[in-house]
Amino acid sequence: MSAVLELARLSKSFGGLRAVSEVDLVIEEGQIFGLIGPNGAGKTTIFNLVTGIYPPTAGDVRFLGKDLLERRVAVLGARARKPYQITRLGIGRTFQNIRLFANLTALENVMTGLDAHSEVGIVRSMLRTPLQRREELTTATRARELLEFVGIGQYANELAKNLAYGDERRLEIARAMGTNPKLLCLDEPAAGMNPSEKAGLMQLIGKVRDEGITILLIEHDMRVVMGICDRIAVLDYGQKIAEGVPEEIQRSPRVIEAYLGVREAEEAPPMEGADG
Amino acid sequence: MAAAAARAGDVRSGIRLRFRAQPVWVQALLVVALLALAASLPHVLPPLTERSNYYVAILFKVGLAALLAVGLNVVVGFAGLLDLGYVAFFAIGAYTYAILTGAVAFTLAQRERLPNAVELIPEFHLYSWLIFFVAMAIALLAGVILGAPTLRLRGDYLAIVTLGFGEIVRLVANNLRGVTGGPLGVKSIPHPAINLGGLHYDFSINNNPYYWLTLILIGIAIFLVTRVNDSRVGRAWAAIREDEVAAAAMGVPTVRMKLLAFATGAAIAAIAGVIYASQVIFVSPRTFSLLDPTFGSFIVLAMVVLGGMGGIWGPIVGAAAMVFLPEYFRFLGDGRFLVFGAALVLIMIFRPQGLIPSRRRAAELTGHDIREATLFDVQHGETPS
Repeated sequence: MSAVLELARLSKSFGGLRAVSEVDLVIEEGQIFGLIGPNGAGKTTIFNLVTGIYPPTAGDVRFLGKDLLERRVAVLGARARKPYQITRLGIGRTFQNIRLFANLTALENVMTGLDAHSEVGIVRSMLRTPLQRREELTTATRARELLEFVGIGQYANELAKNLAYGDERRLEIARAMGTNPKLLCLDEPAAGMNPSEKAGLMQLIGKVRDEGITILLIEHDMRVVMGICDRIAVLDYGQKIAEGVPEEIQRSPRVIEAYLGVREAEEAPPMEGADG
Repeated sequence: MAAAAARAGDVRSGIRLRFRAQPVWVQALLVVALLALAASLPHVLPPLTERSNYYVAILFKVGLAALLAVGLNVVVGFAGLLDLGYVAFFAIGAYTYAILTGAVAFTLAQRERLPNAVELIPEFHLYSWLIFFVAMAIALLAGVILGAPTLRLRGDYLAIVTLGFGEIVRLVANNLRGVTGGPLGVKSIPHPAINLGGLHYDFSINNNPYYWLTLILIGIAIFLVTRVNDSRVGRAWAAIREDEVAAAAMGVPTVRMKLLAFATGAAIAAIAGVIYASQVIFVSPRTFSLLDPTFGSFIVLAMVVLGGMGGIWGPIVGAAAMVFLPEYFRFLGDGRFLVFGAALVLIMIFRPQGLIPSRRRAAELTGHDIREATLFDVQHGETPS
């Protein structure tokens, strides 16, 4: 087993606010890795740092041994990879607040993801060369397979915005899988789902992992997190306060404190945490 | 009313599906028939009306406007970039033709009463046809130069910058006297001609050949633009229009794709500019003001919006309406613009999706689900449910 994603002393400040502070994480291949923490703990910020939405203030992100920040000796200084380049390297993502292409069909949504690795450009599209037609057909076929995989094959020609909420979440996963990721980042995929939808989602996430895709999961729902994650890290105020297998996390006093608070009388000096 | 719109949409998508289900040669035949019908109009009109020249002149204007609208639709309708300086590329095309045919040099020499001015009278040579490609290349370049720094902007900010660009090009044409002829304009721009061995054809002052040329170019533009829109590039444009952040996260190189849309639109506008200059044989910076009643940026944008963004036929119908309506109300004198404006407002109130909306746009605005099988389904014999 090798590390898919490594964060080393990763930090991000917005003005005076330290959203993420010296976080170290190692995610192994084939894991479902949960990232939890109270609201505002910095979970989504970590996602955005990994997927290149904004550059970190300090620290490193390594993906499959490659430095994602690509420090070129350029006139303009260090240049981070752009989000689309990171996607093409093999990091797919979904969004906390669903961001589908609402007026495209489900099939077209997934095809857009698959296009990340297509080859033909504008000239060959104008000429509609045999290669272009072949590629379109492969893309459409694969998109159908992915829709079937996440269980919404019957809605292929439905506009994305007309799908039921749970199906929109599934479509986001299918679209992200289209980019052929090694690592799939899911940002609160179970938010707003009812218990049966959640159960279905957990099953789906397991299926995705069985395809050989490592998963980084942000989730609030403890039953989902504890149910499917191999390993969990807990963030609070931008710092990692605990990491371990689900049982360890459930027992960790620091975690319980972060989520529930402590009685004043019991207020204890800061502990070492349950790291390792 | 929403129901009626949806029914109209069903009929149209029915036509589209049936058209696409035909073998390629039937499709080609239908398109050729349609083009032939449009092309024969200058010959159909004379028996019907005594003012056939007038109508062909309007047809030519409609054609040019339609070409511009098809180009702007790539930028605004497909990629969702609000470009308010589109007239700049039209101007670049027109001025490229005026400069390269030597009309500017002649105009300046004559204005300064140089003795050799007569020798400079511009002529059209066979190689002058290459100017079409040069103009396209220059407009592409201008599109990229304008786009590279500005396409990082979004929405309103992009609109403001492009608005400024449109004005800058006009002001440059106005003030760079030595290159563009300055505010007095350029005259004696040569008409195109074909001189190939025994074949001689002079486009001269008659409207017909320009109308036919425009028709051919619209045909080519539609053909290519439709194909691009039906491909991976078109999907990327649609994705950017829908949600740029999500598009980037799905591996779409957003800046490059936006540049591509911008440059495509620019190239089409430049072609229209070349034809315009070659027919009117006089250009001045005033023609390219934002508010020009026929080819100004706002008017072309109105054509696209009025006709229906994001489709293919919408912008063309919009162009026809925007050119015909003011002509139709000409008997009202200047009052026609009042009527014209009122008509625009009414259309936008009662048909916000445009006269011929693309299926997506219609669904977006009416909240109506217009289902349509994709090309892929038709090819595989599935029927839309």
